[in-house]
Amino acid sequence: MLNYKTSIKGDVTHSDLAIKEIKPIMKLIIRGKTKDFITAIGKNLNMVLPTEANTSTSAENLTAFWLSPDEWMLISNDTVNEDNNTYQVEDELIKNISKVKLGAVTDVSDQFVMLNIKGSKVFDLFATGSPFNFNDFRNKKGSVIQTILAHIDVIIHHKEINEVNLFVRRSFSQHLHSWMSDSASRL
Amino acid sequence: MCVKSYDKCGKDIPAVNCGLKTGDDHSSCVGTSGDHHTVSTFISGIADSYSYFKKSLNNIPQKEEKTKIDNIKCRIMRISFTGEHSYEINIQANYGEDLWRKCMDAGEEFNITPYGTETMHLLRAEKGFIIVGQDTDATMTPIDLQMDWIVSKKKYDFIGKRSLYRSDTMKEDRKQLVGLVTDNPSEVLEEGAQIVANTSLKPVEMLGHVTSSYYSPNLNKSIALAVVRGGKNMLGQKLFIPMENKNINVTIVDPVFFDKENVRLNA
Repeated sequence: MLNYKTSIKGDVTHSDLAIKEIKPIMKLIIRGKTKDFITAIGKNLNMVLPTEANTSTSAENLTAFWLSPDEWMLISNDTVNEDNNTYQVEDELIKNISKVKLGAVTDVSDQFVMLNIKGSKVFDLFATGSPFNFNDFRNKKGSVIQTILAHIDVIIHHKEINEVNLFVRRSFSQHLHSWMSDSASRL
Repeated sequence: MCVKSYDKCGKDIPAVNCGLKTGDDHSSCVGTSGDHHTVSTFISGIADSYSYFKKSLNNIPQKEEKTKIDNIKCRIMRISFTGEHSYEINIQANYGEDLWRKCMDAGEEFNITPYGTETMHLLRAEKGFIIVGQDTDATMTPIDLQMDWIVSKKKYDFIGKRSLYRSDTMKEDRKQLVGLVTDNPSEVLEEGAQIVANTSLKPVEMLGHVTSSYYSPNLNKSIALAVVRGGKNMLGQKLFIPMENKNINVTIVDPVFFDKENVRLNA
């Protein structure tokens, strides 16, 4: 068996902030423009893709983030098995979307590291390293933003009040994690 | 084994209804090189299904197979960047480190040895394999690289066809990829050094520059790749590399320095 090993070493806990990697999470990028694509996704996933910019929709097992007018990120709500990387959702989408040329499905599970950041100072932490104004974002559960944090591209999903999931590219994840840990200690 | 770090990029090409999405960080890549039989046997030993590699052992041409290693999906490609028979295994990045250990354990019986990117760069230069961005720039075409064999003659149309066959990109005196050897075999050229034919005429005309330069232990001499104006038709010609205190004499040679007959590649 091949052992699963991520780039993040340990969780970060402060009195008003906790940073934890959630792993393994299935992550897919799906792209398509046509009405048939949207219908097929709805049928296969039993959920509606968000069409409003910077929002998300959730079903029992999956959450979809709007990334652009024809692009969404799909993630599993729960962790998946470390012993294999075969995802039923991906297989079905490849069969019913990619193979019939309705759109594109790309597995990006290890492209992004998902960090769960929880606590009353989440947005104070972001304010120290992001140019984005989180004032509206913090009041709107389910909103999604693609911005930069400490000069690194990130996708941030507002999961609950004072709780976000942050997606960062694996190569930059260790650096960003260290930066957030350091920054959080100074809040 | 390496994990690449590039900035985020994605691009749409509306004319062909095509989108590109970067996936660099998703995969780790392990490259294995050696003689045909050893490497194919090694890969067959670690892959869960290896029908494809059994075929490979029987010399049936092969390019790529999606398979599994220890129940983890991966992609194994028949790609050589070393001048030897090679396979690259691409697997999800979080399994990469353990795949490396597995390869080293499984390769013990074949006297496996790790090689790094500097070794790989030297091996590829000996074989005349280019690094796009180092040995080329955005102005170069496959014709300049003496790689026109890579362009399909059968396709009615493809992206870049018009540019490729413009009179300017077909000109004989464009900068073209060549090999360089120094008169003094132990003198290694500096990458980026300018190449000239005549130092007495002022201003000195620059013909091109050195793109890759190494000392080759296989050949026991210094080798370099360079782009030289009209270089394809200058084989055997003597040129100069002007350095701070001296001129280095070089000769233009074929960019494939080692195993031109592909004996080692197909061993």
